[in-house]
Amino acid sequence: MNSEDSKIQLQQRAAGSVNWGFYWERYGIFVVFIILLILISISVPNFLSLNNFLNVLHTMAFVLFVTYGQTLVILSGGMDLSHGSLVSISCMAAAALAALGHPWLGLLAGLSTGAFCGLISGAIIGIIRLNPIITTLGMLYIAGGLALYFTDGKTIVGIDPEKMQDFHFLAEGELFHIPFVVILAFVFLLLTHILLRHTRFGNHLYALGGNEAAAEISGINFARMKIIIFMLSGLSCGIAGSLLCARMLSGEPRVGAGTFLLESIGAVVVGGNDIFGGTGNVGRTLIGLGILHFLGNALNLMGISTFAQQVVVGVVVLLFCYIGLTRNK
Amino acid sequence: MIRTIQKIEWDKYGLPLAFVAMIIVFTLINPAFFSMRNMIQTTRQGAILFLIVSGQTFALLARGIDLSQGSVMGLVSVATISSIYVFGTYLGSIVGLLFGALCGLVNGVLIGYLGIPPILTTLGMLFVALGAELVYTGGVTLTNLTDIDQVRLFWFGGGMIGPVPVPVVFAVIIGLLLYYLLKCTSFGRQVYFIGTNVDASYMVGIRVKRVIVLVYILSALLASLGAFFLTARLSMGFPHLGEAWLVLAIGGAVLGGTSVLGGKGGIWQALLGAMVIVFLDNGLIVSGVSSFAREAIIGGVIIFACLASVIKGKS
Amino acid sequence: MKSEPILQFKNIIKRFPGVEALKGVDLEFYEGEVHILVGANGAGKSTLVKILAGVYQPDGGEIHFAGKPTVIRTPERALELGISVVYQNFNLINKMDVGQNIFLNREPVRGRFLKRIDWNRIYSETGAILKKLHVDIDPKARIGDLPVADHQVVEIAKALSVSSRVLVFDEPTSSLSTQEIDELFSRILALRKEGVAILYISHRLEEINRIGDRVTVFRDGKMVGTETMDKMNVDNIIKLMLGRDIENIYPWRPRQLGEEVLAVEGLASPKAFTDISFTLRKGEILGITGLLGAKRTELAHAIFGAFPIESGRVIYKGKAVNIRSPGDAIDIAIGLLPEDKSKHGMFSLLSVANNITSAGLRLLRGIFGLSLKTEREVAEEYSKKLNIQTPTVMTLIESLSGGNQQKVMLAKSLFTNSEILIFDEPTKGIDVGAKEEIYSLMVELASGGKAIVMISSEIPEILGMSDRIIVMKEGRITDEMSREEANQERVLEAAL
Repeated sequence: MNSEDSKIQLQQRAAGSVNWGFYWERYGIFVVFIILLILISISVPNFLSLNNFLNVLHTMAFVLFVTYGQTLVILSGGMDLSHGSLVSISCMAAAALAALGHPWLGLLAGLSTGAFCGLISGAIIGIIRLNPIITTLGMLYIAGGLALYFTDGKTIVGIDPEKMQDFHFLAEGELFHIPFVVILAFVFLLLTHILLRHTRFGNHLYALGGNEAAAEISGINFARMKIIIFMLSGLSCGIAGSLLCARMLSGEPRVGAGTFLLESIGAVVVGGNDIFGGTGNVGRTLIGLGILHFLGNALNLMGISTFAQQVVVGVVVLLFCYIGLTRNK
Repeated sequence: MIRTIQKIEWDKYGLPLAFVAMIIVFTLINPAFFSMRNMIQTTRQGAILFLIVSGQTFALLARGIDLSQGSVMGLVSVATISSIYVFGTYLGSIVGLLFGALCGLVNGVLIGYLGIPPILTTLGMLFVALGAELVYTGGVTLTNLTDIDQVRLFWFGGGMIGPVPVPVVFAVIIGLLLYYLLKCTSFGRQVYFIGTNVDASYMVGIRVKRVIVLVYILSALLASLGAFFLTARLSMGFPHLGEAWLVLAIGGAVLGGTSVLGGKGGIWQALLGAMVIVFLDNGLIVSGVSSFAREAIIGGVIIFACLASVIKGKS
Repeated sequence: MKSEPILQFKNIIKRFPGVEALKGVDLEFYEGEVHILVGANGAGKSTLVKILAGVYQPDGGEIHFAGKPTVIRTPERALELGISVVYQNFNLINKMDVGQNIFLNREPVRGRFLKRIDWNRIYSETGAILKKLHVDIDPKARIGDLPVADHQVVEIAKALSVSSRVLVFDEPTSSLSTQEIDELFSRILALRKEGVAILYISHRLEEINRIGDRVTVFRDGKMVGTETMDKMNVDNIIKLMLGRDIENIYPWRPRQLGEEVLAVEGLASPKAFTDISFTLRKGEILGITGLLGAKRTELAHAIFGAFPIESGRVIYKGKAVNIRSPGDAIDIAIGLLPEDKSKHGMFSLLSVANNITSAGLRLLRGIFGLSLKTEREVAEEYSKKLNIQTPTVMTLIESLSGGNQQKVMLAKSLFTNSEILIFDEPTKGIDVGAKEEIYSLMVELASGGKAIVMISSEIPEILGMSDRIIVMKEGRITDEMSREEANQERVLEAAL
């Protein structure tokens, strides 16, 4: 970093000339989101209905939980590739107990399973200091395998919808015409935000993402932080998995194997969070996921196949990754 | 006694010894394991994994990684069958491989010339390749081959030259070539240099960017070869072909002794790692372990290998 | 200045496997005094600092703080006592702001049920500390947006906010420009006035006159001399640091100079250097010196093709050449021994032989590809010629000492038949014995017809070894002199 460069920057700002780069970095993505919504509303007829909106939000809500966890991990300088399988295995755990007649125990099981897997990942990353990508990739594989092993690949059925109405409400019920999951998702959004911005833990999390070495020298316990962070990430998958179980009232071992991983990372990156960590917030992730989902919805309404949607989403995510990388070099 | 144990260079001999021990144990559990038929079958699988692991080894040696190998394999599988339909067996196969090489070229250019970290680039390529071939096939397996083509193609994957499966013959020849490439050519040496210290490599006049492009082309091409042999055996274009192989590729490379941090490892390590994984998998099957438990066990072994690699690297 | 020392080291001993880093050190530090520690690398200064900071524990001896025997078991304990260290590599988090950095892991909280961070308090207290240091930095400014010198101020502020009795600076000026060094010094003097005990570690002798009250010289883990500043001078210090007179260290002898091999005309690179012109003859040792920020390394890298040139010409043996990459430079027989060995020079995981041949792989080509046998023979030949101490040529280079590693770097350039050798800080971080070997090799090579450029910030070294000296300052050549004309004052004047 050339001290000459930053001096020039500071002088410019002091002299009153507007630093457009600064504003673009901060608010740009929000503007992009609004523009995107406007463009879509113009080109796709069915888009602007309240019904459609609520539908998209409903689907989005399930993934949103997972993105909160990914936000925590990425902001702290890591990445969690196990999200797909953790959702699956949590769903299975919830379904297993629900099928036996204990839906709320099932919820607890789902949450615990996710958190436990996250704990293991966190321990390996925090204590042994293995690369997070390799660790969570392995966890992806192992958890996915276990989810399949548990029932030999078959779906858990036999959850009585009559008896599980309360449980089912979590995922499919509505409160004042707003899907309950959506409300739940926003509550957790607030919780995550408070965690990140107003607690010492959150501050330390940002520090780890900003400069790991400096954070450690300041006395921040690397192992403890990583364990808690990945546990929360796993927990977020647990929430999503349990809710999916509540939605479908069955346990599908491959339920998380679709686009959960792509969306969780994609939302964080597209929203403008620094992929290396240290800068960003969960609001950005929300916008990022919003962009991906509304884009997908638009493509859907335009009649484009799901596979093509995946390609488009993949390319968009890649593009934002590239922008994010080059911006910070 | 203890001193004798300590004197053994576990680094060098540990894994081969474990390999032999493993074979003995599995044979004891089920003598059918050691049958000619089973051995030949497993070696065939091993040859294919060896090719893919070798590709990953190049990427790892250059302090990178290739996460796209799995989906490139699916892409090549689909592309090969489609190309054979248009161009015939031999030309079509080559076209299929070229698709794979193209992916490697893109990876290499993004990583070498644009400086995007390999993890992100190849992760992105994983999604792009997967998406592309899923769009093309709609998720369906391709099976539209003429009978002649099917027979010709099958020879590559399922045929034998004498007592030896065809893929094994190819793998041996290619393996020797790769070994020579890494040990005795400038290119090979430069890969080690880059993996050890990129800045210093630049300072001794190595054209780092070019070498990196070649490395990722090789990685994709070798994975494509693996896909080719698998496709040949199935005689079908299977879009999800490589999904299971990515983790095995990285695991095999690291298990065999190639370091994730670059600069250490090689073809011999690739062979060792591939063989251990393949025979472990086969041994577990023959011993009656369910497929999902197998997945978990192999995943565990791979994580353990990575752990060991990092710990060793740090000490 | 108080009469009782705030901090005393009595016969401190520290051992590491295979070496005794501190062999019974006695030191006293007083409040309101700047105590300077000098010594060559490996003399034990950093070890002492780490003991003070609570990172290491002494194996023998006692520490007395404010008159009482103390044990500084952990970094936290050191902070409690009021001891903090400003390290060479700043430990700041660029993506966070000043306040966040200063209060990292000490964030004040408020509220009864949910312990929320009290951001208001953080920023107001940060503002107060910065004001005390007479510096105009916004507490909410992102560290990454601030110039590097301000980083150091923030580090100082952080240290002061935690503790304020003993402040240790470990090589603080390595990445500062002249002006920034001035600001740092005035700040240190202000702190001294307030009664802080300051320990300043450096091996840059030209600076210490300006702020030191007392100087202690370290050599080989022992204190070899401590005096008040007025009784010390640079020559004395060097003598104490090395243990002998300057004259004997540099094996320079006159030799016959040949034709001109290299001429640089009007070389310029934006934001680095401008209007650089000089010539170099066969058999000559040209010394280039200057302070930090003079851009000498950038110049060297530019000639070597590793740094962009905007204008100017490089003429090699009479013909203008276009060097756009290190490969080009190596092709026309230029060799560079980089300043930062581990970053630009060495392949630490590879063997000595691999390193020696790394720049000249094409020279190893045989019928069947690279000849490993030739490689081994070449390596052994150079190993003998340059007296490289290594068990075998297949040993990994990282297990060699600094001096021997430097010799391997030299072998690397010699292997490609370099006729022009650029040494960038050749003896940095190398023990005295190896230094002499390198000097002898340089003179020998020059006598054999090689043209040598030696870049160094150690003025005694430059004066001792060069046939001609060029002084650079902030990217320009400010003076050129022959060996006879050269002396320390003239060089310093041109450099400052």
